[in-house]
Amino acid sequence: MITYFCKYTPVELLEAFGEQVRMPNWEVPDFTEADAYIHSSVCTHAKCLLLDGNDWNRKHPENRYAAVFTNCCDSVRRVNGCMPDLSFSFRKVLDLPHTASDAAVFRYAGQLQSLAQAMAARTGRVFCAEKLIGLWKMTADAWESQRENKAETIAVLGARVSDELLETIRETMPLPVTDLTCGGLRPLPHPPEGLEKKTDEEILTAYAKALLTQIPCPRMEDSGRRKELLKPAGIRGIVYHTVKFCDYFSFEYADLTDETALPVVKIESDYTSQASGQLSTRLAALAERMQRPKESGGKDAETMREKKERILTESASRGNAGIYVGLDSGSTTTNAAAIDRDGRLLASVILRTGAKAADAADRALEEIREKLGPDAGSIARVVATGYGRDFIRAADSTVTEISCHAKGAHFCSPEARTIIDIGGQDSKVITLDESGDVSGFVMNDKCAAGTGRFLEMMAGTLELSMDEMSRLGLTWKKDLTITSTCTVFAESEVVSLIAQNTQTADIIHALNKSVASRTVSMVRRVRGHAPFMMTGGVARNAGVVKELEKLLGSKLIISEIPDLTGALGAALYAEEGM
Amino acid sequence: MNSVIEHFGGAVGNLSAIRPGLAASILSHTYRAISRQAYHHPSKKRTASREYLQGVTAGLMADLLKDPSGSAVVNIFMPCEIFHAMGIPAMVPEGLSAYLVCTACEQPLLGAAESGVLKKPMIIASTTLACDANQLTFARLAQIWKVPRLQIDVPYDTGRDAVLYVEQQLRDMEKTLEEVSGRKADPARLKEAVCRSCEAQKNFREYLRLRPAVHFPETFTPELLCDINQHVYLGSREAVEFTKRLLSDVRKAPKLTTQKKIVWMHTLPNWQDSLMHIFQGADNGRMEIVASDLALSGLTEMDPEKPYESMARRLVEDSFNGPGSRRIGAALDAARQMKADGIVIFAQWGCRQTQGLVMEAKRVFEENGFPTLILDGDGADRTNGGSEQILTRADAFAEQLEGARGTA
Repeated sequence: MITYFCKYTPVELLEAFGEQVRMPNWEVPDFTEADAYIHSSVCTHAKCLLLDGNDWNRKHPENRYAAVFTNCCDSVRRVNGCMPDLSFSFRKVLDLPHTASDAAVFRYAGQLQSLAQAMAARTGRVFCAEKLIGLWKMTADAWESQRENKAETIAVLGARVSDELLETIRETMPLPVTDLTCGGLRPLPHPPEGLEKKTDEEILTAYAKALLTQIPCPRMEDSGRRKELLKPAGIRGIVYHTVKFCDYFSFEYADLTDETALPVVKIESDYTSQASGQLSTRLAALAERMQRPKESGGKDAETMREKKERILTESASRGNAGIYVGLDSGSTTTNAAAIDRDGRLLASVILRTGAKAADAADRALEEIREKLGPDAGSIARVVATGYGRDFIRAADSTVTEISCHAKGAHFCSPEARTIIDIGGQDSKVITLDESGDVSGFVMNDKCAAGTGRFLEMMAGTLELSMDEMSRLGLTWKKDLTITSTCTVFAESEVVSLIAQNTQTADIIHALNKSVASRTVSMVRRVRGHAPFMMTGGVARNAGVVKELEKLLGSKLIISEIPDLTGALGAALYAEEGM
Repeated sequence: MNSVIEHFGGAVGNLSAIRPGLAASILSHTYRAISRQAYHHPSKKRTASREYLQGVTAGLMADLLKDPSGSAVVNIFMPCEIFHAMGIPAMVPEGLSAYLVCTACEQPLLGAAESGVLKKPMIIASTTLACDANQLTFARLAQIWKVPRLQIDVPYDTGRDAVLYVEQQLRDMEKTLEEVSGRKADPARLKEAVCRSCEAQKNFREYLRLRPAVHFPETFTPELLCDINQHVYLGSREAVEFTKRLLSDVRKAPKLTTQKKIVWMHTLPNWQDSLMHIFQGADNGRMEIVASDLALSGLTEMDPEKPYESMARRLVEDSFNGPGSRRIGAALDAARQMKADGIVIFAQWGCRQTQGLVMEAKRVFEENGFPTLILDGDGADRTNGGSEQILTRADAFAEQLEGARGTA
């Protein structure tokens, strides 16, 4: 068995010697073992590969690790040099060119010849050109049928996804999923006609050319040809995957969002099996966008305006008809909203989530029942949203916070086209079309900077309540800047400023600027435009709002119930029978 | 960082969003003033070589910001003798980013290009050496500016085939430059440029031989200038002049007393006051950088009779090319040659090549008796820096080295 890592590896050549091949694509619980050998900021997929040899040798002591590397990217190059002390039964590194020029093909063909010699020595077999051409043709046929397939599909693009994540994507998506990353794709062109009659050297040169001219990886010079990946007619949506600390795909993603009208969601993974909350929210939001039929714009917006007039004041005249509850289980607070069939807000609750999301949701629902009094028996449906949505026992169904915030925001302000939601653990920017449907969204990555939690931590460091922080932040005199974008390092900067007797108001203003700056960079990523609406608890922080308005050059619409927007959206979904 | 510079940079940074042309003009005039000051009123606290190359670099940056239409943007490893011979100014983004960040103007290169502060050059030329970032950044710049771009693909191995492969690409690059610039390449001028490279390399080797015994008043920015000089400036008259002055400085310098000698790996975050303070080597400086592996990486013998082959060999034999063990070995040799007390590896944020070898490098260096510090940081973007954390680590390392001396 030979392990390989890169689609430019001459897999068919290895198989022509009767070898089985494998491409490891697994997740790890954490990187404690890998961090002993390599810096923690190296591509997380590469770090998984680093551990592959040890793992293999532990499981197969009689069949030692055999691997063919390419120097495809900086991280994999270094992984090859840093692999823990293990005994390889076979190890070959291919010097992969960055172009498919004639000179590059010639060089790579030389590498293949050298590999063929090494394989002959390893297996005791002679190179069989006929076998190579047969296997190569099978690969090309498989790619051709994949390319011509017109069945509806969701494409996974970008960096290679782990087997586990691919399974999650398949489970979440409403359509079959096609893996178009280098882990699932081998887009080789067919062997030229009459190749069988050529010399071994000529055949290997043709094979090198086929390898180098396949749809390229972004590390290749002609990476513009990657647009061919989007040609299959059946693609209905795109999951764009990036790997933490892999640098190759962010530019492509930025271009993709400009060039395609298909719904796209970007997810980033770190090849660990933890912290899948944000990933599942993003994936589910894409699935929701693809499943929901388009509503008619003008008419729907008008209905929403009518509903809004009824909803924002709690009604005294509670009917005994159905009541619909939305529960937004966030990392910091759990919010609940109850509305009646006519869309009137009957009761609302905001609680600290604490350690257990399910318990907080139960408490929130209990308080809603208390507020509703005798009408509580009329609760017809509960929809849960937020991080904890899948753990809420009382929920009849769940909808992601992306869709719920969009729904709630559009309900409160149908004119808003960009929703900025800064919550406790995450912040997100959602763009809406005229009908209130989500046209795009981004969420912050696995980092607390720019979120409500960031401000809470800093308020703690400054020994202030959130209200005091909001008030004081408006009275700054000196324009300071917190340069670190990492929460922990930013806290160091704050401590340092405190030590220098800097005015508290000036520090808060710098923090507000930092939050606003990170948020506006997300607005730019999703190409958000005015009118802007802000939701989430941080919308009550006047200092942050002011800095955001300054950077956006536009006023923010803030409803009277910014922290209840998600719960309100969930209640509206409940009313619609979701 | 000086608070005046901080305010100035912040103001220009803000201005770049609304009036990019004006921001570019202000920066250009500022760099021109720095250049003139360095030429005509050099600081007595600094070495003559540093003041000279500072002036050259600031002048180049001023030209670039004013009118880059006849220039080439290149990466630091690009052999520029061809450019110097054809009279095409070659500018290094790493240098510009370092310059912008040193003036507290938070405009990384891509930002400067996107905002329009930096106008488009004639051509972009880069090598795949040393890292993936070159391909991404330069391809993006070409996309933003809509200018021709060429790339030299540098193989990993150092054999004759690899040199030939690069040599042919360099010849092709010269033809492209002829087409784009309308200038004719002259073999005699290229030979002269390679002669100048040889002279600068020779002077630099002699400087390195003398350097371990002496004390320089500052070592951070000068080392950064050596990095640039020993790459893109090679082949120019200025590179020769700088190394002549460097030799003169090292011959006049006082003997080293208490400062610990450090070999530095990777780029130098010369905007960081805390590090400047520790490594300046002045009265309160505790450590002194005596060499950086980037400045040493391309010290290959060159033959003016074979200019293309010489440049190609310099590329493939660069210690930043190939497996990490090659670079680690080169740094270890440097530490021995410079009689270093310790080695600092600057794990530049986002540089997977360096990050990928730091653990192995530290193990090898320490096994060979060189205490080693890994510093995480960013030489081109202040927002990625944790100044306090870096300061504490560097201070502790100085204490470690001083303690070692105390017990020796």
